Amino acid sequence: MGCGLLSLSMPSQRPMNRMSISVLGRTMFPDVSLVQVTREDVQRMRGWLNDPEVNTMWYGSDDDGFPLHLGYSPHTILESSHDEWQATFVSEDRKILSVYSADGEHIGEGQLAIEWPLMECQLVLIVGRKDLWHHHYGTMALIKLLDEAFSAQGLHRVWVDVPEYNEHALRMFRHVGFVLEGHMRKTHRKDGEWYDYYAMGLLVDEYSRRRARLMGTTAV
Amino acid sequence: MPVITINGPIGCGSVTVGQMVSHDLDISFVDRLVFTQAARMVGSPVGVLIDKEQRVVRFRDRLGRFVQTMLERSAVAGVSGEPYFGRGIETLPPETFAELSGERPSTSEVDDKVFLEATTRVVHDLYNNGDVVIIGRGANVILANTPGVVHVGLLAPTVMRVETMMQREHLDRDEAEVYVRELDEAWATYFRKFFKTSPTDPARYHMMLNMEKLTAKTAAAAIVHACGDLES
Repeated sequence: MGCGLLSLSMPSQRPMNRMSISVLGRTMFPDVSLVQVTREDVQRMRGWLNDPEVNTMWYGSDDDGFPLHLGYSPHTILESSHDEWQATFVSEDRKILSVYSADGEHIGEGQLAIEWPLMECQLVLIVGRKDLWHHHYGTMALIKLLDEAFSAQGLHRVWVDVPEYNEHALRMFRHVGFVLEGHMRKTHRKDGEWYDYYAMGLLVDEYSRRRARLMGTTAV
Repeated sequence: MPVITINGPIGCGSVTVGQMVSHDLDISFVDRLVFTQAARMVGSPVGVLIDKEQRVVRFRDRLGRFVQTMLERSAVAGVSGEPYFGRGIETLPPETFAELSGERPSTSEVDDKVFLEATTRVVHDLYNNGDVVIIGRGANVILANTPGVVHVGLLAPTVMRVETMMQREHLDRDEAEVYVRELDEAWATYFRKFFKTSPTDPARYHMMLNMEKLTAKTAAAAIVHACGDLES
């Protein structure tokens, strides 16, 4: 039954230097944008993934101690040719996008691994900037990725696998409307330990209703 | 290796009770994942499979399908060869224009037999792996005569389930009543069409629990207790 893959890095430590804004009970999400990945972005990704605090919540490291990532290896892709770079970052089957804040700072990365025959994709999201954790940047980036998946790409379903230790990610996906499709016991292995994972999915019509409520706007 | 199927109408608490049982027994919980895995097997979007369980076929749908079938037959027979409409099948492409333009793959329906075979295989795979709570999808019929399985049916009055859907889906009462009524109808149709039975037939279950009279916690405890019989 599928494989246990992580989908979001959101550790539980709460930084103090940024605050989200709440007006009349409605959270005002910070604006973010999704843009094409540059080599400078990948260099920053490599730095984030080398941070043990980020890496612990992500995929861990391989036998040689290099941090694991999905879609490409930040440690080798920087040495790649133009053609290899294009094949990785300009693909119809895997959309890899950098997440930028409104003030133009690179803060993370999102991916959509698309299976066209099924009209669905696996969503992957990492906010590498630890000082922005828990201030809704992840939620807003998630909404932007879902808009891309459902509106721009015309997909039918988006799914994530979330390990049990990433409780903040579980809450965020539920909040945005993801439905628990399955909870598999001890099927995700990381650093020699077995963990549960939660398979969550969101269909296009479920998202339309949920997005309108979240954003106070019309559905996509 | 306890395997438990829980089946009930929309809004009766199957998912809540199922998750509690899964937690108490420390076993897996599978809900829509049955269909997502079956969709992978047949190579179709999961919505096509969900439609088979939840779609309410209204008169206008049936009428539309009838007209489409008649047009296709006449096209195949060449009887639509009128000067204004062309002469035959090549004027009636089976794909939509979006599909013809290559914008998206076909989402045409999956054959019922293929759908049932894929769903049955996923449920049997889950059974073979063991230690799982399976929600709905006819798993209680698919595993009807399989040893080591407890089949649980839940029921609750419509008014209570309407209240649940109003809260869960943020619907007003009229919308929730229509939603519950249509999904109840689709649920019964799904069982009748694919399993030749009724989802509320008590003979299909080891126990039926009335969720108007029980809390989810008590229902889960009763199911966990019943699983003890499997091990003894």
